[in-house]
Amino acid sequence: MGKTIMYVVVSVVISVAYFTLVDHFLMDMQGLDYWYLFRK
Amino acid sequence: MGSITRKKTLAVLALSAMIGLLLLPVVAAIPALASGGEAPAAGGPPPDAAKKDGAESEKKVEKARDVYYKTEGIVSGAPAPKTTDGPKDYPRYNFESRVLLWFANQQHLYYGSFVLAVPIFCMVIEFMGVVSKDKAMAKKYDQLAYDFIKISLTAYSLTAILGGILIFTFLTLYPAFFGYLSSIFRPVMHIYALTFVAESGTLYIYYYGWDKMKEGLLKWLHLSMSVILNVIGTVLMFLANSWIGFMMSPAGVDEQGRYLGNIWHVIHTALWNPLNLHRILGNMAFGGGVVAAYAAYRFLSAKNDEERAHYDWMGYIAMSLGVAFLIPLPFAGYWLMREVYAYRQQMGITLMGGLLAWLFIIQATMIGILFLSTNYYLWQALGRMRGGERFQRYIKYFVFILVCGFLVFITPHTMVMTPAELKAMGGQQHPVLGNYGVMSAKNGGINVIITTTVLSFIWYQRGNRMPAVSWAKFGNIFMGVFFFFAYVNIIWLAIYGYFIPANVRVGLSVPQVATTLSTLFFMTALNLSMLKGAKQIGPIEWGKISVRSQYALIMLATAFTWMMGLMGYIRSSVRLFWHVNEIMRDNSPWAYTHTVGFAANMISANVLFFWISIMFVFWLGTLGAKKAPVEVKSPVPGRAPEPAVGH
Amino acid sequence: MTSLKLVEGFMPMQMLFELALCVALFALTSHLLSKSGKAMPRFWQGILFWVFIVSYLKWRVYPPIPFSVRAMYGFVSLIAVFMWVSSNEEDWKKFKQPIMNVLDANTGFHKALRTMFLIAIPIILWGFSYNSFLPNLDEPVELRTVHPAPPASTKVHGKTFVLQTSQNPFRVNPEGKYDQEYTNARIVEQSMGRLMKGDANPWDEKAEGYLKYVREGGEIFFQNCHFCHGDNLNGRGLHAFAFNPIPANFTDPGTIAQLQETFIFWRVSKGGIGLPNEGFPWASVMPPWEQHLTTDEIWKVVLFEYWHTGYYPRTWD
Repeated sequence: MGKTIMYVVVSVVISVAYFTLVDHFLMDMQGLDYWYLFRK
Repeated sequence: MGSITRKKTLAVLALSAMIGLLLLPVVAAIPALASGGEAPAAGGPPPDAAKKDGAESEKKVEKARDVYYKTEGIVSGAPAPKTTDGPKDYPRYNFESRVLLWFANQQHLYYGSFVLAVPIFCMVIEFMGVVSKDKAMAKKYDQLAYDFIKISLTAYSLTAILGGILIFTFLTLYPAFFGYLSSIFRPVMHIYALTFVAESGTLYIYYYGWDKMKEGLLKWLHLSMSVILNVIGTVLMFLANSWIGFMMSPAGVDEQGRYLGNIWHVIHTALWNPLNLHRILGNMAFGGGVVAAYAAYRFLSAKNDEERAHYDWMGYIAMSLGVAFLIPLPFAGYWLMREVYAYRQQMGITLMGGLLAWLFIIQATMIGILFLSTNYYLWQALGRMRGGERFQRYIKYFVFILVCGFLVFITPHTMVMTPAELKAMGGQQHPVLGNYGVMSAKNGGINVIITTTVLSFIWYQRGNRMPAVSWAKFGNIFMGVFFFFAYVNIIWLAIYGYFIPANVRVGLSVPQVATTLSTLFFMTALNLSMLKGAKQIGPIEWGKISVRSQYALIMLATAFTWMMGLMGYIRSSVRLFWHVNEIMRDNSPWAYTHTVGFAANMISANVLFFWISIMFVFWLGTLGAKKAPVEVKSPVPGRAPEPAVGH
Repeated sequence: MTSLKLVEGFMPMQMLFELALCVALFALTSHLLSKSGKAMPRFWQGILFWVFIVSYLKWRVYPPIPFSVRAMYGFVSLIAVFMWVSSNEEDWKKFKQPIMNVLDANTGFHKALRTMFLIAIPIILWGFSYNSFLPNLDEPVELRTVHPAPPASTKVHGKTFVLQTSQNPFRVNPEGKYDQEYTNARIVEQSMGRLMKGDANPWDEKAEGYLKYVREGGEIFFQNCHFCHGDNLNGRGLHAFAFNPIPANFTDPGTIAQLQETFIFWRVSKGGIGLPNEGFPWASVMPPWEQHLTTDEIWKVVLFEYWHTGYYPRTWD
């Protein structure tokens, strides 16, 4: 059970990090700001 | 042994010489292209520039500005003709010339697309045959590639015939326009025609030399020929695309339409490359669909299990290749649209916001049908594998996700409604559904659909196998989590778009696409590595697939064909009353946009004609069939033996 | 069904979420039923689900969805149900069973049912044909292009504006230069409530530059435009429902939020009668405001509209 939770946590961390990086860098590459709405 | 090596060497030399001769016209034309299309490499102004300027008989060289590139160039051509309605500029039969041209053009494009796509399939499948370690499968792949190229050959001559009909239609019904276009693209058209020599030569050697070149070095040569064939075919298409790109987004001429001497500018217009990419992918998807429908038809009319098994397999391969190229197609289309918008905002609005907007809703519907059919086929295909049943109870959730994405994708922003409904709604836009009507939501919808298709495909790959790697549990969990967050990211980006300015919002489509493509590349790779050494629950029982799946393949092919016709119509009619956008005006009596209903009927007529004619082509292919060369009959259980009749 | 509210600002996602919840409930119910031995046949599951979806679309979503859209959605749902029930051979057989039973008519009950269908189907078809031939007293449907392509340029008060490149001369920062970043940071909050930013109050006496122009635009708006477009800029003005179509709702994300400022400038200046051929049947009664306002006043009104709705005008850079 503990192992499963570990797997889930690791997967979540990797996936969220990956997609955030994809979002940020692909917007940046076009000269746009991904974090526009949060940049107050 | 020495004589055989010598023979081989001579054969190689002879082949290289032949290919060199075939490509010679193209190579010789390159300096001419580089110098701007005039005969000698021009150092100074071309000698006939002064003569062409007509009234100005002084030696003064006239310069003008390129409408797109904004560079200065020397005027080296006549201005675009100002046509008038009459038998001089628009000779006609007692019929709308535009419809005749539409028909000729569309059929030529269908066949052209088919004969460009099939060699690409052959290249891939022949390659798979060469590198496949399983000898029986290698033989099967090779035979399949041979069968594909056979189908293509008959279609090839029909393509040429239709091309001739198209040119004659242009010449006889639109002489002023065609005269102008050919005066600018003279060298391109010559190279186009000569490249056909190279294409035909390579194609015939490729096909007729199949048996002679079937092993060792010659086989690799044969494979290289398939690559060359495809390069030539692609070049042909790129050249033809330059004319269309010029008509939509002219460059290399001034505002009056006078050619400014730079042939690269007239070829490399704003929309040339987006069209190129979109058409390569579209050709492949379309070709895959046609071959899959052919296989479906043969499956449904099969007389025995072996035939059924063979055509089930063929349909699966064709569909996979077609869908593999379908997946990046929306992105190429999106790029094309962005370039249209960037080139001329007005054109972009006409396309998706104004006159032609309903056609895009129809397109959205067709795309949804394509992906739904693909998914449906994959689920049916799960049924022919022992072990596939464990996935079947989740299919209803896939259906739900797909359909939600589809419904969002097809919701129009401006709805067709009676005035009573308009009053009840309190305005032109629906407060809930109107939000689905804009691109931010639609991008989310289509990306969700594509991701689900990827997931269906991954499940199909797993259908009859249980992963036996040590890290299988982690792999499965990671896949599930990755897909989950892929969906979350796509939907989050779709919602985010509503709260930021338009110029930032349009950039969000790129990470959305990247998310979808990440699932495609990474998860299929992960899946493949997880399935290494997997336990097979049961064999794939080719031929045991349900009949509904074959109808799904036919649906796929018909949808592809219809979509191609639709998008071609849109591309053509966005020019509105211009032959060449903003340069040469259409003064024929048909300078108006057809009603959506008429256009849809025309497209359907084209689709129907194409399918009837290609059925005829397939039948022709079966007529002259000699027994296909079968060297090794390997009776591997569960595999279909070689078909006795080539088709 | 307005007691269970559709929360403004979240409605599209809320609808999808509700549908997902319903699907989950359906799946759970059928699972429990089959566990307890009283499984509902696939055939009835499919029909019931489809009827539910169609009813949801008709009665849950408000304001009412037009019939054309409901027809599209209903048809697609039918295809979805078909895809679901035919996804594997076993389910498909189970689904077809009741139909086959009626067609085979081996029992008395099925015989009666088959006879009933034989009589009922022609009557229903006759009913549809009859209805379609009845003269319809409703107003005819007017299909118009709501968003025609703008011309490349427009001439207002003798000056030509190229729509792709012109800029609002009042969208400026304190240095007087055209600046979208600066102005976009001072618009109304883009969320529920639409509150003004604390440090960006156009009605402050000390307001200068952009904010002052917004106030001036607001004054023009309330002297000329709010009668139709409403004081909340949502197309619910005093005269709104006297017209068909009603005045544009600027708070909708599909109107000014999607357009360039120059497009709005063109529409305001030229009005309904200035619509191009594409805008047939020219049902807009939008007055051509160039006959009443100067270009500066028109630009200021446009500025105000974007400020008030909290939208950013569309740009290409």
